[in-house]
Amino acid sequence: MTALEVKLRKVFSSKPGRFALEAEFTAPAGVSVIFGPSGAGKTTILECIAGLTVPDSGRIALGSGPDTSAAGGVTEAGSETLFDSDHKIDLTPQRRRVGYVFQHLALFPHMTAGENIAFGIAGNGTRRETLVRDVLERFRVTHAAGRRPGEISGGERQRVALARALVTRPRILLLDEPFSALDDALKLEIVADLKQWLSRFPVPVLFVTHDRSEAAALGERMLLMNEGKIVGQEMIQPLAIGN
Amino acid sequence: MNWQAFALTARLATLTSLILLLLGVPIALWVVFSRRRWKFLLEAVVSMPLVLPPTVLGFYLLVAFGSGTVLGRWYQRVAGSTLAFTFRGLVLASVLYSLPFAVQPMAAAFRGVDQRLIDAARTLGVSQATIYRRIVVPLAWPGLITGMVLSFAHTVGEFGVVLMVGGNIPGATRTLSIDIYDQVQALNYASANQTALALLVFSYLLLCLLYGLNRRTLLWGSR
Amino acid sequence: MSALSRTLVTLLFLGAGAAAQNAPRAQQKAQENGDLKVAAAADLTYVIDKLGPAFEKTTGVHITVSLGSSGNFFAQIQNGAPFDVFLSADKSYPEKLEQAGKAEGSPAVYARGRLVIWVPNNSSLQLPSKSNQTLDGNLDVLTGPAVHKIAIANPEHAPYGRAAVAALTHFGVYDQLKPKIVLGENISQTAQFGQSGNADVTLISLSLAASGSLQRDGRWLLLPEDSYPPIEQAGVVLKSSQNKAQAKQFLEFLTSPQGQAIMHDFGFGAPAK
Repeated sequence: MTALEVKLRKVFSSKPGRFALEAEFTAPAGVSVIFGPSGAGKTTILECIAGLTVPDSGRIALGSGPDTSAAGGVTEAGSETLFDSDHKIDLTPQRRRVGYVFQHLALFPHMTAGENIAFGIAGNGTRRETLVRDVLERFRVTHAAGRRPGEISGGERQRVALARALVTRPRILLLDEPFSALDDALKLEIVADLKQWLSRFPVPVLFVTHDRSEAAALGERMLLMNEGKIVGQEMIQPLAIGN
Repeated sequence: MNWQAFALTARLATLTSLILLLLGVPIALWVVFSRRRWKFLLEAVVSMPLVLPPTVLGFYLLVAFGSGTVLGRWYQRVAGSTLAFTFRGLVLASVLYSLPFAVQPMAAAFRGVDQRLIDAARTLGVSQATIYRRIVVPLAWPGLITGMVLSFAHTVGEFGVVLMVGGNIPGATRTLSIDIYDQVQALNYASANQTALALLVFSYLLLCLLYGLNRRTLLWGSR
Repeated sequence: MSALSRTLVTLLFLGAGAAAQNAPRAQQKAQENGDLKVAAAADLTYVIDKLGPAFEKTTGVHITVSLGSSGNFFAQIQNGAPFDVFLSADKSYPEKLEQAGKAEGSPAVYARGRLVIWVPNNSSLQLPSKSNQTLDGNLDVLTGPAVHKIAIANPEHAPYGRAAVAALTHFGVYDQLKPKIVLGENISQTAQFGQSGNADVTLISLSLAASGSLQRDGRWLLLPEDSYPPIEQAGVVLKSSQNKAQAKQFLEFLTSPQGQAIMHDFGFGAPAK
């Protein structure tokens, strides 16, 4: 089973005052919640992992366990370095195979839900159709396949965004507060479907939120962040939502 | 109204705007998305016809087409005649002259495409070319239309360059603007007025269409 | 989308600026006050550079010159262009100004223009070397297969253009050559078409062909003067002029022996007596 190893540093001098992001953690398969106030640097960590932002220094890799702190360049079977400033490795976002659900979902407004989901699947033909049909079913949005994002409900959009990120079988899943606009009941339904999927395809999931009940509903462990630093880690006891 | 000049001008402007659609899109994409540090150099070249008097372009084209340059001699040997005084020559001149009018609105539209959508597409593993083809260009279509309409209109209004390299040949290089000039020179004010008025109304309607379209897309975009 | 409209506004604004640059250059020099402002036909391009200083030497009056096609100046003057003297390449435009009441006194013929065939030095066309010879019925230089484009001035508003059409008609080749003819806006632009190597043959004034860079870059041949109606070039003082006395003085200088000698040097014939 692979785990995501992250060690990065990035300094923003353009922000008001100097903001330094420094994070080091390992995320095994399963959901790790990154929890903290807004402005703590949670989204930036996800962007660095996806390759959308380049850290000043550090290493991001998929390893086979929490203890693979071996010298860079030595890659075991099933492990791969995504970024390593020492070895000048910086894979493009395309080659990282990371699923990313953005806070604003970033669904393509000119494509139908089905086209959005199929967008990242290489090749075309029946394999693609099968994959899309399957994921539509598992996230209960088959009825919305032919409609554009502007024509479906908020909950359906959320499900389509998840389906689009997962249909390509990413090796890591990044969720950036994707449920913040939904009410609790809807949130629970979607979380249940997501958990179902993850039980079939277990990968490290980083779930950014500043909502403790969301964290409790989905997460297994929690990284506490504040002002660019990871200030604590804890395991989460399964709780009911509702504070 | 000189219908031959009218048809010629329409043909010239249509062809020019179509060529500029094919040429402008890759240039505008490059201008917006390239990370090369020296790209401003090319950006400036593309925009030069905006600030240069048409006489500069006209003068250099005339010289370039002539037998005094390698390019001019080569073309004259291959085609048997100079590019000056031909419809083809005018198309080339118009494409150069209207290039910024196509590229600028296209680039503005490409710049306006939500970066988050592009990022999303990148994490989905598709190539940069596919992102341009299926995300950036389709979402920026109002800018493509604007670029085409503007370059069409600008070509219709082209005068200085045509005067300098056209040679005023009916059916080949005598455009509406040249025709109006000739009529004024020949003191046919009534006839000049007729053509000029038609052009005035046409330009106004075209720009109304453009601004109306931009209003509509503004509503579409906010949905 | 607001970025779009912004570009649009910028583009239209810049477009308007570019259009303004198209405005006739005649208006450029209007601000120079004490000078005598002369609108001169394009065939006077070289000779005027001699005439101006010579006139200033005799009278102390400085002239500023705008060059262009006679028809263009005529239209501009009719609409109030601020010139003192108009030197046309023909007689009809000054006469029309007189009829319209825009002239001070009658037009004076100051020279007779002469039409030549000009080809660039590197041309394969057989022209007798640089000499004052005339075309003697051998029309190969015009009708041969090596001739793709023949540049003449626009006959609608340039006197040399009318003369060129008349000459080609006289030789009976106009209809045959018509598809090869390209029109210059004035006689200088016609010369540019030839000098830049775009037109194989140009019909221009001797005054241009025998002076400056055109003399350096090409060969020419006079067309017989009976092949076209005489190009009688007339000048006129404009009614709107603020310097009528000096303007008259300038016209008189052109027809004086000194003025005529300069005209002769540049290939103009003397006005018919």
